[in-house]
Amino acid sequence: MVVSSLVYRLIPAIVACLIVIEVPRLNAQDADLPESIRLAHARYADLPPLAVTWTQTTEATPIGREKIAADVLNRVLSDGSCVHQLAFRDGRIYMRHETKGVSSWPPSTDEIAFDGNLFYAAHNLFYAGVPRSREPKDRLYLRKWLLKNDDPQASYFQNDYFRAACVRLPVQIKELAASWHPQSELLALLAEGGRVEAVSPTLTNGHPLVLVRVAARRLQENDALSRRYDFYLDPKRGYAVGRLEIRDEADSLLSRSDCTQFEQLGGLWIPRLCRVEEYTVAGTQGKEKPISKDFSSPLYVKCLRVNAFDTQPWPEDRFQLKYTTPGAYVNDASFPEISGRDGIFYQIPANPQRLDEVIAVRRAFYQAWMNAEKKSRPLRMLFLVLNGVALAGLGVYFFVRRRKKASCT
Amino acid sequence: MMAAWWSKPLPLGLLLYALTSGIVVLGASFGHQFITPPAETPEQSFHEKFSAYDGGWYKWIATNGYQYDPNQQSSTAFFPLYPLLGAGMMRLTNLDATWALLIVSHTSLAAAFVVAAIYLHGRRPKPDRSTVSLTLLALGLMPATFFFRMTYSESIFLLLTLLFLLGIQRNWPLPVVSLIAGLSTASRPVGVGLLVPLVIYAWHLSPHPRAFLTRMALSAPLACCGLIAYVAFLYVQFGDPLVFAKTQIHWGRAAPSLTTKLFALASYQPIWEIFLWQPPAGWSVFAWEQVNPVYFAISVAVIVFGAWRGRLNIYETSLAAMLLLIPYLTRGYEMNMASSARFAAVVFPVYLILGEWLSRLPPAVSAVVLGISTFFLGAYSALFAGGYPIF
Repeated sequence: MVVSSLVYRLIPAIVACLIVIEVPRLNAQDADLPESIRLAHARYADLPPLAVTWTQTTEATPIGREKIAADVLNRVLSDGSCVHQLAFRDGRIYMRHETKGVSSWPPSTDEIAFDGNLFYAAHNLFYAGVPRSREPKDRLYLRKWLLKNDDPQASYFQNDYFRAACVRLPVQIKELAASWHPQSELLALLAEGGRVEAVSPTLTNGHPLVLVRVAARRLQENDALSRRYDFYLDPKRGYAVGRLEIRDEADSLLSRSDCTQFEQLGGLWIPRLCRVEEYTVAGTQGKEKPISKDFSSPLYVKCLRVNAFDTQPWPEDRFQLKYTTPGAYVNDASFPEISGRDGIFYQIPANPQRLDEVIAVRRAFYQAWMNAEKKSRPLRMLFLVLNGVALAGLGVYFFVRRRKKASCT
Repeated sequence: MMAAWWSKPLPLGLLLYALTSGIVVLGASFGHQFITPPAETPEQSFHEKFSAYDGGWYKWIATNGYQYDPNQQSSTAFFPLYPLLGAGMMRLTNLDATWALLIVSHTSLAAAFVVAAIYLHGRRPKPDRSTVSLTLLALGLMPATFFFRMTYSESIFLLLTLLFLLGIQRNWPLPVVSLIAGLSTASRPVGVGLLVPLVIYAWHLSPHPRAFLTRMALSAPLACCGLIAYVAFLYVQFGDPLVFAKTQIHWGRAAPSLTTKLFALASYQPIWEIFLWQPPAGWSVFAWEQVNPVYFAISVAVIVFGAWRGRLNIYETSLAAMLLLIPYLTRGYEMNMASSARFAAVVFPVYLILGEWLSRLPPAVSAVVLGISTFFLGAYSALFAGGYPIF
């Protein structure tokens, strides 16, 4: 009994010693990432096709309710409790977001998908008719557009769970356009120019972990913000990230995520539960601004609990949204003649055999509009010239009339 | 004796209002019964068919008040006088919003016919009886005037512009005329167009420039009171007095730049560009996107003719010019002239010229012209009630 208790108490010390042996340079400036950690994290690229469904709840803390402006707080908490699903496979990605109905607002479902060429965005509520904001029609609305026609900086996928678990997935259009695979957040930061400042053993809640401190510059709009990332890696679980703390240049804590209940998937340890404490809130301009100097408590807390991991590769057509329900609205910019995100607008007819005809008519309208734009240039010049001539004629007319009147008097 | 009785402004105005509005109601009834909507729409009762498109917004404001969301179309785009009166009528009568707004529209229109008849009798040179009747018939039968009978603010605006012109014609005190202009600014954004004839009126009333400036200093706030009250309300309610204008970006296209827009407006592009299309469905007098610019251009031509030939006085001309120019310059490009027929329909001086032309035509020819106009009035009413995009 005494022996087992002694062994139990010695385990952290033994593990810490092993880490010390394995991690050659402690508290060093510009340290190297140990090879064992690098190799373990490089395996994130081999993460097999995966679909994760998680429930996400966001709650403001008392200090958050006090400090965050009401409109920003409403935005932060707008989803309340929602279910997310994110799946990826071979460069394709799919996201589903379901919110429960709250009081007068009906439940909503959003889907975003990218099949390697086209983007799809669908929503179960269509805001047409009057009034648009209070009485949405419970009707599907699908948008489709070509990747090349979107803003490279645009981002549509909410991957909060993967961010908390420190798995980097592409979200911006420019990232999706390139050949991509999941990455470890740690290695992604280093690949972007971040540098390891320190590697040291540490104990967190009695667990021996390895702390890897990375200094990186995070690009946001036109600013490059200096950030310090403290990764707490669990050597017993293939250096999976148990905790991540992000601080700004003033060493103020911005966010802390703690992941637990790890499960092994394809040789990698993936958490089932993440708790993210946010100490800042995005301002009205979308920039993160620490709104309080009192960092003793987070402003709001997100809890992300995985409902299911699906490791069966999804068929390719699940990364395409094909709505055929009669009455569904479609904004279709998937045609080569369309150069933006807005394309032809049509409604799925009651008779599905008429769909091609409906699309053909709307495409013809679109082409007529584009042709009209081309033809309008010379006509515009002609009318401008005629306008000038008419104005000059009027001027001459009034001048002559005045002269005549003057000569009469 | 009988003819003299009927030609008095009150019975004549009411009779012609009733006759011409009956055609709209019949047309709408036809549309409700027999026209299949182009898109799937929920089942609506007959009177609800009078509140499509913008009419629906007024109905919603009368019921729920204002809302503003910077990311989508908001009710703040619609000025408050008409929905306020509708809300008042709802409280008085316990009717639903559509009925209440229809009562406001039709009462205003009936009153507008009577005021128009009075105004016509007071014009110089005094028009004969048939010109008065034909002018009122033009006011009631021109195709785009069917909007006066829907839950739209056009009828109350028409009534206010007519009262404004009558006030000037009868030399009412400047504060009274200014107050009417002020009310018109609470009914539609183009109400500010009444400021130009008001300034001219104040100038004519004033013996010297200093008196003019003093009068205008006192009258200008009164003449904008509706707009001032509305922006003050928006500021209090939403923290931004200009949300009525800002929400307009959600209607129509965005101009790539101010220069592009100015060049387009100076070359009348919004009016003619629709005709460069080759619409797959072909050209049609029932396609409202084609009707709008034609109707607008005809109205401009009529006003130019009236002003050129001295048939319109300075107040009528300046009022008409402002009511046509303001929507053209502010939203003509963005909206591709959508709704411009409706905007032109409230330009009362147009009917003065049309009435005069009709009175000069042989009776049979003017009857044919009015008959064609009546057909289109009924047809557009039917299409509107049938759910077609007539706006």
